[in-house]
Amino acid sequence: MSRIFPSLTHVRLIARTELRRKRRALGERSGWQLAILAFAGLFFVLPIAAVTFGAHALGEGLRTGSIDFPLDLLRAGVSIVVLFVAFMAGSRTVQTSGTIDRSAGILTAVPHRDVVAGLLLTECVLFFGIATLPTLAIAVAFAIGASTPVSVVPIVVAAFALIIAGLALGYTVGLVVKLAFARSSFLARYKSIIGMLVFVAYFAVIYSNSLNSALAPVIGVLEASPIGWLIDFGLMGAPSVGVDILRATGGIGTVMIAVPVLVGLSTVLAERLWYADPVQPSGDDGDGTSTNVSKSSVRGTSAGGEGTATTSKTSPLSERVFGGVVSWPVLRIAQKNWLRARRAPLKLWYAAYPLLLVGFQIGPLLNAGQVPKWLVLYIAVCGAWATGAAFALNPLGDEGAVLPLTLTSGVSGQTYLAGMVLSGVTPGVPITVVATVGLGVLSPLSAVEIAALAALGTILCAGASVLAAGIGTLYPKFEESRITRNRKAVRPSIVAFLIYTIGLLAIGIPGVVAQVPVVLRVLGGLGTALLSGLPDVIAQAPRLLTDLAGVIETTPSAPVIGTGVTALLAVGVAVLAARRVIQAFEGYTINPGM
Amino acid sequence: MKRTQQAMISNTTQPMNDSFSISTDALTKQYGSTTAVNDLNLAIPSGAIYGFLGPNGAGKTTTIRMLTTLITPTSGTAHIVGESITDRQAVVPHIGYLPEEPPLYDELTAREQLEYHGGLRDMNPSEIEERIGSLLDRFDLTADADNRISTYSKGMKQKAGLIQALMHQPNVVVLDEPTSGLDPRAARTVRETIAELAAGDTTVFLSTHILPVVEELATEVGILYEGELVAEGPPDALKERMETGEEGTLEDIFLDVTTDEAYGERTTEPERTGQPE
Repeated sequence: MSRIFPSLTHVRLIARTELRRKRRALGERSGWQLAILAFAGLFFVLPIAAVTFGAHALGEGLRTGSIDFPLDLLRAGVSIVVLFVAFMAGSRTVQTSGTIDRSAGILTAVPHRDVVAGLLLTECVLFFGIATLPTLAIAVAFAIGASTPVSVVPIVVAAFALIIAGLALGYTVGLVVKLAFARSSFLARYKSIIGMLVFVAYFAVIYSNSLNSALAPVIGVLEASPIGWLIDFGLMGAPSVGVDILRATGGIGTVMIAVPVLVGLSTVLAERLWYADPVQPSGDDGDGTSTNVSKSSVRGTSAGGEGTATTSKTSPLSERVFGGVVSWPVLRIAQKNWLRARRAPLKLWYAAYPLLLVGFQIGPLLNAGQVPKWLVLYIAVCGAWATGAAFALNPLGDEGAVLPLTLTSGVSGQTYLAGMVLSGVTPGVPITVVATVGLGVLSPLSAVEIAALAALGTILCAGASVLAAGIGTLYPKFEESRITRNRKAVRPSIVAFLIYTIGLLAIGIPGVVAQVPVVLRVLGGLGTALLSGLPDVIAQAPRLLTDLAGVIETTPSAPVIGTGVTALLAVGVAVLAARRVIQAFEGYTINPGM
Repeated sequence: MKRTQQAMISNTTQPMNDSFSISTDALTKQYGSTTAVNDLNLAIPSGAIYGFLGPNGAGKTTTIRMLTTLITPTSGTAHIVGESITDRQAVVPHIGYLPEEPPLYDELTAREQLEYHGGLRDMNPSEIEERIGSLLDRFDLTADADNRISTYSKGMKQKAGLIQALMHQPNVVVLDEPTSGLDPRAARTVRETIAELAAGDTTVFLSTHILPVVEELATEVGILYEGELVAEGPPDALKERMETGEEGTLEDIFLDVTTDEAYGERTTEPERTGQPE
């Protein structure tokens, strides 16, 4: 006989096992990853401390009657909490908790409703685990301030009710999103691109400081809804607060009704999702990265052959652009890289890291209509950095299981390197030049300086690709690392990242200081301060930097000279790096333990 | 025993839902315009070992997923021990399923995994402990039972997955490539276990590419090609070549019936061998 409600024994067992798995998976993370997690956790400490302090001040103010009861503010606060929890739960559902690991084992053992309830209980324990201490701290601080110890209980109950409501809402919405992607071949086809756009949109909203205005309508609705009434329940024990008992009851009552309804809805959605027929992403879009090439266009291109690419009217875009310019194997390697990047764009997300550092600056500066010189320069160097890092920084490791085949394909090291460079510079150079010139126009830079910066960016892009490949073959990485909660990929090693970044900056220094000599002044000042007290010969050395800055500032052709020196350096380093790549590729042997 | 089972299979032409452990009637699964399984009729009695063969992409896994309630048929019906596969809660207690990729959590030890699964199957703790102990011994996994599954070889995972499928003593065991990745000794243990299960009246639905295993164990063989059952019968009868009358191995039969030419010439009815007049 079919049960309507989940089996509590199964639910508890599933939750316990899931928690045990999560704990062990966390334990298996490297020290680096744990340190990053701990560092990320620090960002929450300050806001929680501020809210705790605020809760104490509020309690005290209410007790002494020195402040007016800020009901609207508190209702907005609980609305934000619900939205935050729902967002976190929803994104976790889309990424991990909406999918069952090894589903055949569990779905042939227990009803899906037991699994849904088990996973939800797991999420509850995780969220409560994180929220309990801050909630208690805030509640106790308020109770101390208000001198009403009994206030702790309703505040904690209201907070947990908020978390449960947000979690149930987020889980349900997450399942709706997953179901849409599971059922729609269109969404399945563009899944990666949509994910990337959402990610970019998220950061755009954050960086443009428009999160508040974007969420204001939703918060307004929630404030007026029974969710906002939970604040009435939470402050039932507080002094000098005219709590509306009806609203307090209504708030808690709504959560008690809404949560089972949402869980029931989740159960229905989960059944449709977990037992859904998989959709096939609809056809390829032939955007020039497809590997389906007309037979007529591949003549004379046997494996390892170096024949030049020829094209026909039906050839993909990349073949029409590069046909006759580069050899087939070179184009094939580049096409393979582009195709893989298109299918799994998140894998290359690290290439945008330097942009995140200045993300908060870009929005306000663009709004003000004045872009500082340093930002244009930063973007030119960033573009070059990303160009090299995206495709060439781990050329051997990125091949994965295909590496033995690639090594024995007959492709020369030179061809392989050319393919890597083509993969990076084709998108990298135009993007870097357009971004540099675009921002340069909005900056106080002259036309000559903008042109010199664009040239600097282009030179660095080419140099960066070869440099990255050289460093990548010296420090290859074959192990996968986690890029999202449920996705792993092979990424370049940290050492390769560091050396590549230092190397690229070293190449770029002449061009950079020639464009922005103030860098030298800052370094000179810093050096003087650090070395003061030492013998004059040493202590005065940083002054050379300041003097050099003066010379550059008074030399009109300095930007062109600096860019030229960088170009020479780039060529020299590229020759050395190219030799290294060719030797490494052609002489590479696979270790048994790899 | 084997002969009796063959007779039981052979004497029935129309599936009767409650007299067979596994029965399907015109079972069909379509994905859009692609037909993965077409009009499949099976009638497998209790205690039979049914060797389910077919080339890659023939529809074997789709059939198994329908029988284990993991996907819903587009049309047709199927019953496991008399229970319709549309009633998942009624069916799942009767089945033990080992997919091609054993459903195990890497973060757990084998013992923890099996205790967990036993709990989900509502087995009591003492029963769980007893079954785990005896099955771990049987599959020579006791020494590694408290190591994480992430450290296991493919064969060890396969053994743990098989124990998990058997531990609640199901009426029907569905095994997808159970000997894949196993060393000869472990493979023999699996074969012996399958034979014992059948002797104990458990029905084994065995999908594999290792034809000697089917030849040795199966009481009945069905060959699927392009989603359709193209040949069915006891292995001995199938081995008497239908068209040429020559003796052949099961591999010869498999290669003979799973070609486009043979498929094009066939009628919709499977080539049934070994049926009485």
